[in-house]
Amino acid sequence: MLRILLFIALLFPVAASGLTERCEIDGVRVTIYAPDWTWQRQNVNVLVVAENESAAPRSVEIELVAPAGKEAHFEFNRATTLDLDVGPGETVRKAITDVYAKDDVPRQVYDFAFAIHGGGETLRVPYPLRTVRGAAVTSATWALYLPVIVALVWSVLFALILPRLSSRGAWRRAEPAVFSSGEVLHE
Amino acid sequence: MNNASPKPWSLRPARLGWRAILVLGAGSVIASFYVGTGDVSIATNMGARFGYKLWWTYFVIGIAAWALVDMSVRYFLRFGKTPMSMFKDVHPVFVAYMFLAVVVCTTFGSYNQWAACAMVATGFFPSLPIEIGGIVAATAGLAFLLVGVYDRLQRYFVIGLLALILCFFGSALLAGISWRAAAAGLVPNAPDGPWFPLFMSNAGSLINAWLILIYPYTMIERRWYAEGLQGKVDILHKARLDYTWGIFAAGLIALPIIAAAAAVALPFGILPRNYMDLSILLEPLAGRWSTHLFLMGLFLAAWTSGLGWWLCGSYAILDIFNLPIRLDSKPMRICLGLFYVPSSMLLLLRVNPVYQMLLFSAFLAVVFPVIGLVMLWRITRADMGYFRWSLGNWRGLAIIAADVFAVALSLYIGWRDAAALFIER
Repeated sequence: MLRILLFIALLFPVAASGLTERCEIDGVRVTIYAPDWTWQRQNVNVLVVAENESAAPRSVEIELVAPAGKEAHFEFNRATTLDLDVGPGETVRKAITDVYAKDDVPRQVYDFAFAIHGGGETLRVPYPLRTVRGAAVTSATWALYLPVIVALVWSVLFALILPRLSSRGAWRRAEPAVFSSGEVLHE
Repeated sequence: MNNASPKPWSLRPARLGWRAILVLGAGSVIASFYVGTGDVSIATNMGARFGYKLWWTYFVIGIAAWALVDMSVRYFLRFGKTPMSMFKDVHPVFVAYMFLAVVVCTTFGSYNQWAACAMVATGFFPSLPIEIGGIVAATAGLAFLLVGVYDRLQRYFVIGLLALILCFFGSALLAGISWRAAAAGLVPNAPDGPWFPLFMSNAGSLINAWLILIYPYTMIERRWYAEGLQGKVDILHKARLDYTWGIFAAGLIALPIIAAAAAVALPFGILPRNYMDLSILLEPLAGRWSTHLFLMGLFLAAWTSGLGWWLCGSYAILDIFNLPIRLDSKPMRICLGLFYVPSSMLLLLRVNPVYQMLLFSAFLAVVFPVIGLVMLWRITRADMGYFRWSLGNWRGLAIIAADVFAVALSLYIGWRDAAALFIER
């Protein structure tokens, strides 16, 4: 177990999140956290943190810009623009959620971007998002039944092999437990 | 041995004192089942939707799980027979039912854990296909079990459980735990919104037949059995402490996961459907260490739970065929190998383990009531001797109340769940 913990600890320097982009606009420090890959048929969620380091209230707008011509490869189920009003010294966290990657298109790297507007300026942060193959089954029913069917078919192997190791009719007979020493328990 | 002389539940067990801590072994093995992807998925969803409000469900359902483990242990101590004998005593059709249920659930349950391990690995190395990550985790698990003996395995599980408690709590402490909200969440309440499906999934995860049956197998491995009645009473006392710890640990570990989800997902209306979602969201709020601790806890939880599923499934199969209950035996190795193949093969389906675990737990809740009823029938028979149901004293009354509560709860949830799974779908 210690070796396993050590192995996992070695992974620590690797970043778990994909995009971590920090920039400053109109006195507001904006940090965007977003995964850089997703399974098809999964949602992507993006978290935005805005810290106002100035002495006056500020407004920042962050927009997720889909790659031109490939908007239809995703479903945007909620707003893709965030309006952040940040008071002096405040930190505001908001998220762009439920960006659903469809699966009826080829897997590829999409050139998304974040457009950050504030104080008359606009910053553009590239956000490459890679899609990988998602689940082989879509409906909840098949996600449940398919593994069950595979396991039921597999149980035939157990039924064929295990009786060869035991006495005839053992599966129907209740017997006292046997300890690892071979000693049998008696009531 | 004359079991008829003393009144049921009248003997006092020997006091354990500080030695009690030394018996907390197999409880950690059963805790490792409870604390797997089911626990993490359900707690994450609870935290993201309802904050701490559903923490109480772990303890209410835990009482039922405790009572069911207790039934199988009482039966073992009374007759020296393994849990499957209960089903053989009733009718062979129940043995066939158990055989199929064990193979299906062990395959499904373990596959889900390897998928979660793979998800953690792909979080760090996105180019690593999930099938490869899962197969590596499963192969490492198989190798670990094939070379192991039970005592060593139990020691490693105790360490693993403590490590994952530390990881999850470390991660949540960095994100911030609201102790007041957590305390309020211990009081049963019905929050606004669709909370009952999560309650059912939690019941499926905690009131789970294999987890309930495994404890007597660990007793056989540890030779926890006595011929004399006082010895049996003493062993029951020790065993109860042990599995109380195991079940309590499942509820305890739910807290940091709920806390993390409540801190990072609830305020944004995000419903994590992917373990990486939550871990990535943790980073901006609580820092990189929080994410890494969470992922490490998740990996440990899933890996030890995968081992636990195989272990219990294999014990149950050995039990069905009256083969010796031994980890280091040839039939055990064959069973482990047989479970390895389909649970690794299913990784090709790439079904999201969070989503699938919620479904699977609901499925378990439907399978379980039959088992609960058989156990209830068996342990209420007069031949249970000293361990029978009795209204003679408060201990007997408490046991009746716990048994009835456990089976009634599993029946109710199973009934509601069957409608949701097979009728309303």
